[in-house]
Amino acid sequence: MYSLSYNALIISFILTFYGIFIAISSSLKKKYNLLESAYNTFIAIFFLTTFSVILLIRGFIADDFSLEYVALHSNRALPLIYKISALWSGQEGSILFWTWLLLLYSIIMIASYKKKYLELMPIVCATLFVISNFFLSLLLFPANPFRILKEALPDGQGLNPLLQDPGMMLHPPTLYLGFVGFSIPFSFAVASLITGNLDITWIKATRTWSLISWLFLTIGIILGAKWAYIELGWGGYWAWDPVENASLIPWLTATAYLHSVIIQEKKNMLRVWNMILVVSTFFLCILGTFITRSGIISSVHSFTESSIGSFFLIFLSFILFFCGALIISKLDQIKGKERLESFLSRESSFLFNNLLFVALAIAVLWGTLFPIISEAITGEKITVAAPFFNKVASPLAFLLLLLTAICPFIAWRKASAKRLLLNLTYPIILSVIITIILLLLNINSGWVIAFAFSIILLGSSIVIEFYKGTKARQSIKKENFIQAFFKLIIKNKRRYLGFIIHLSVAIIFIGIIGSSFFNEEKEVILKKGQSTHFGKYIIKYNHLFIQSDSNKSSVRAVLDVYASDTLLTKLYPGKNFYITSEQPMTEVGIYSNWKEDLYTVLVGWEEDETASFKFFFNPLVNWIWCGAAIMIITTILLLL
Amino acid sequence: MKAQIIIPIIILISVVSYLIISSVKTTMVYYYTVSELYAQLPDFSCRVNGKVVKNTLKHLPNTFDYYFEITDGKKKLPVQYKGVVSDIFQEGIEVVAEGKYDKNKKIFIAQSLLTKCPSKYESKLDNKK
Repeated sequence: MYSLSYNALIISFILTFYGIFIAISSSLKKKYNLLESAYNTFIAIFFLTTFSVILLIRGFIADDFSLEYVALHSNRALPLIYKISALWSGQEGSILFWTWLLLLYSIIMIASYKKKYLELMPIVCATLFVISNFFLSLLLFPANPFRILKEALPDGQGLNPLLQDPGMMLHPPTLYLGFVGFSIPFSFAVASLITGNLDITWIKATRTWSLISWLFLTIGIILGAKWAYIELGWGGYWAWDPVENASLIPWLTATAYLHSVIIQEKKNMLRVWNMILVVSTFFLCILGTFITRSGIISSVHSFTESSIGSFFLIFLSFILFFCGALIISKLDQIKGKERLESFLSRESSFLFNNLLFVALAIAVLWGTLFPIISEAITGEKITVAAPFFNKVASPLAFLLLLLTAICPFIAWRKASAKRLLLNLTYPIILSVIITIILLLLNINSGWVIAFAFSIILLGSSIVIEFYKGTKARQSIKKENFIQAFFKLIIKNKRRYLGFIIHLSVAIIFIGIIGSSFFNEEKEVILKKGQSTHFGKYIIKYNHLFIQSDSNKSSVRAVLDVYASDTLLTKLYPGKNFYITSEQPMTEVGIYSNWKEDLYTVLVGWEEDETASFKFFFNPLVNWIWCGAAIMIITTILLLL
Repeated sequence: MKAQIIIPIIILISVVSYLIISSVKTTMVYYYTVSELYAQLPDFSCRVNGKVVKNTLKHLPNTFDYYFEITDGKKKLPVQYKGVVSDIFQEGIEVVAEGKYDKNKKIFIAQSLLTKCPSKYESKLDNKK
């Protein structure tokens, strides 16, 4: 039965070659029926791949432990929902899932654009066939999901307990929807370059796709951070680990791209830059996957080194040289005729915004690849960790926040500094007041002050923009304030929902600054019934208790949390022991409110129930999740 | 007008390059295998990786103190660590310890301990068809 699914993949692989050939023929001969054949090829491959996916999922649901992949990632007692999500829990299955998503995106795109963009579609299809060809080659050779065991196991090894969590379940699919999604704008850019149709068409065609991909990538990164915070129990949400960075770097260039396309749409500028950005974003998505899967950089999420790395390197080199050559050879045709007129203009502020995002992406990439580079050049392996990334990210993030604050007040083409400062008077005054208050409260860390200033500037400038806009609308239409406010947003969604997204960034940074500069931790050993102070809290450790079911057993500590003599809550930090896993899993006990998190970890215990704990105090951390939710919801509204 | 744009861009690039280079200089940490550590005997803080040697892990009850040896297959290094260990931490697991090597006591004093997740993608079964 599984030879059927493997054969389906072989046929799909062969069909991609046909697809590339027919799509290119369609472009050269300008014949639509050949393009239709390419479309049908996508449909055929999609069904074949779906068939393979269904067979693999069936293997999980039926507890078929003759299939190596199922035996490695599932067991009988695993809840059904996790048996299905185990599909993307390992190398082979996740690549199959990625491939399926790529084909799904392709046929949705074809269905929506059937007879539109006919000049570009042939090469768009050819490019997507090439990408599909690469991923199918992985499935056929180094990453076959349908390897059969000589002897079926009686029960599987089970799913890594860390993955048995709703957030973790969704984290890979949302990330893949993001990474894979950028294949579409990339393919349109390549089609644009090859056909010489270099105007706004390719950007207009992919505007929604880019935003959707960015949205999924954002959701994936936030889910990863929230999951790390809740499940891993080290008290933090971002470690600048290579795998985390692998998802952040394309997100940074994608965010830059979302901004710079606005300039090309409005002023026909930054055309070469946009080409380079979209190709880079796609390249970085594949590079990120390569870093994650090849084990090339030792990270805490290390994966096995296998031949899959070589496949990726070949594909990455191909993209780099092919697209690089294309862009360089067509440079004069891509360039627009318009030029930036002034250093102080809306156009240039977008360019500087882009430069900062790209600078941050390069810095994070440099730090991530540094161990490989240093070993290759000096023979010694040198690593950089969180301190490096925080050091480079702080000034760049600060400048970005400042730029975000002042940009709406900078006029197109040529702005005057005087007008700019005039418009910003109230925000600047408010920001200065807040920073003085902070200094008086004895908060004198340079970065906290700098960020506080820029965050307040950003928040107040956005409020003023909304106020001005609503009032302006009110003076023309006879609407009350609320009506005018909502109509203002609806009539210019990109601008005003964009402002709300910027506001959510400010909120997220309030959370980041609070939890990074004002956090505390404490390690303590407590006997049964003993209490300890932690900040303003008094924590009383009562005793341990044990629970078990067919999948796992757990040990939990009962903690009473007091503040000024009132019992605030009871927390139950502990550890889960899964039947199939050698290692325990930490369950943290968190007391959350808008001001802070009290985060408790049960580290260990002795027979007399004397237990060791670690407590964390994370101020303002929930502002991060709140801001992220606003960002995501607003982007969805923007797409509707 | 072109100079107006090019010059600030060059300044930005220079500043960012300086930022990256100086940040690397001040935060970089050498990464050694056990044998390389013995060969270099560094005075400064560094990282060492190795597998926790069986029957060497000692955890004093009711403390956060751990003592164990790590190896790269060739040499063994005693490590002392005070703090919280991750759930995966056990004998046989690969770790990265960051800290200083005490030449007098001939022991590595670790300030932080990273454990490597056992490979998700490695096949642990050897009865493949």
